[in-house]
Amino acid sequence: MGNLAEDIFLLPNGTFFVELAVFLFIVFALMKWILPPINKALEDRQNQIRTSLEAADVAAADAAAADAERRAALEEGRRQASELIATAQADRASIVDGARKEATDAAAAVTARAEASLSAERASTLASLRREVGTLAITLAGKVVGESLADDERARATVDRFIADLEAQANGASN
Amino acid sequence: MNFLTSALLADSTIDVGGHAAQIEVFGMKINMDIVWATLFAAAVVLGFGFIARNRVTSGVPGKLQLIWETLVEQISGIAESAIGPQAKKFVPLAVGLFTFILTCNWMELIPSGHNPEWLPAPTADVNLPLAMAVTVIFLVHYNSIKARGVGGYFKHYLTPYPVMLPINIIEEVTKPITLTFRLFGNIFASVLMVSVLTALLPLWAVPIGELIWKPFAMFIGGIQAFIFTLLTLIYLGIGMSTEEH
Repeated sequence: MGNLAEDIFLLPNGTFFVELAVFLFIVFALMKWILPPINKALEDRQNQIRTSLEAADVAAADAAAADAERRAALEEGRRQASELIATAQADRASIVDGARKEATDAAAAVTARAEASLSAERASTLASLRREVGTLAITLAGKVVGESLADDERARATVDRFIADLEAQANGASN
Repeated sequence: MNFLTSALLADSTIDVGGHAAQIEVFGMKINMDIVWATLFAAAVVLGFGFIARNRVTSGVPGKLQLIWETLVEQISGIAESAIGPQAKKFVPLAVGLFTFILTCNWMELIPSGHNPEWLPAPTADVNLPLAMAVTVIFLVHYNSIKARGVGGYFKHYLTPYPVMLPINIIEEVTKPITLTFRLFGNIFASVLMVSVLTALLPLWAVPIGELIWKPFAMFIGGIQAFIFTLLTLIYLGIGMSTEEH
C-alpha cells in the first residue's frame, strides 16, 4: 500500500528528469545548430528577392528615363523639322516675291524703255513730218498760187497751226 | 460458466498506465519505454533537422527545407503577434515544442504491442508534458520578471484590483497543470481508445474502428501540438507585456 503513490500513472516519477533533459537538448540543438542556417537561408533568399526587385525597379526607371529621352529627342527633331519647314516656306515666299518683283520691275523697265523709244521716235517722226509736210505744203501751195511762200513768216505759222489742228484732231479721234 | 465469465472479464480488462520496462535510479522509478520512445522522437526531430541543415540552400529549397522554413515562418508570425518585437528569441523553443510534440503524438500510430507497448507515444505519459510545461512556465516567469522588474512582476498579481490576488495566483499555479494535462490527457485518451476499441468491438470490426480512429487521433495529435505551442507563446506574451490592461 505504501507504494500506491508511485504506481498511480497520473503522477510523475524519475522519468521526468530524463524527459526534461531530452527536451532541453532538442531546444538547444534547434537554437544552436539547426534553425540558424535555415533562418539564414530564408533571410538570404528574401534579400535576393529584394535585391532583384530593386534591380527591376532601377531597370524600369532606366527604361522610363530612356523612353523620356527618346520622346524628348523625337520632339526636338519634330520641332527642328517644323522650324526648317517654316523657314523654307518663308524663304520660298521671299524668293518668289523677289523673283516676281524683279520680273515686274524688268517688265516695267522694258515697257518704259519701249515707251520712251516709241515716244522719241514719234517725236522725231513728228518733227521730220512737220518739217517735210510744211515744206511740201508750202511748195505745193506755191506751185498752186504761183508765188513762193517759203520765206513768209506767217505762212510758217499757218502751217504750224494747221499741223497742230491736225494733231488735235488726231488726238480727238484716238480718244 | 464461471470459467467463461472470468475469461470474458480478462479479455475486457484494460490495463492503463502500464510500462514495458521500469528501472530504479536513486530511488526514483524511470519508465524506460517512455525514455527510449522519447529518444526515438528526439532522433526523428533532430535527424530531419540536421538533414535539412546540411542541405540548406538560399536558392530553391528542397521539400524538407521548405517544411522547416514554413514551420519557422508560421511560428515566427504567431510569436510576433503574441509577444511582439522580442518574439525572435522564443522561436526555437516554439518550433522545438511543436515538432517534438507532434512527433511524439504521432508515435501512437506505430503499432508496437499492447500491454505493454514497446514504443508508446511519450506524450501519453505524464512526465514529458510536465517537463515541457515546467520549462515553459519557468521561462514565462523568468521573462516576466526580466521585462517588468521584480516590483512590476509582483504588482501584476494585484491587477486590476488587489482583491483579485488569489485568483491571479490560482491562475498562475494552474497554468503548468492545465498545460500538462491537456496534452497528456488527450494523447493518453487517444491511446486508451485503441485499447477500448480492441476490447469492446468484435475482432473483425477492430480494423474498421481503428481505420476511423487513427486519422482522428492524428488530427488530435496535430491540434494538441499546435495548442501547446500557441499557449506557450500566449503565456510568454501575457507575462512580458508591460502595459496595463
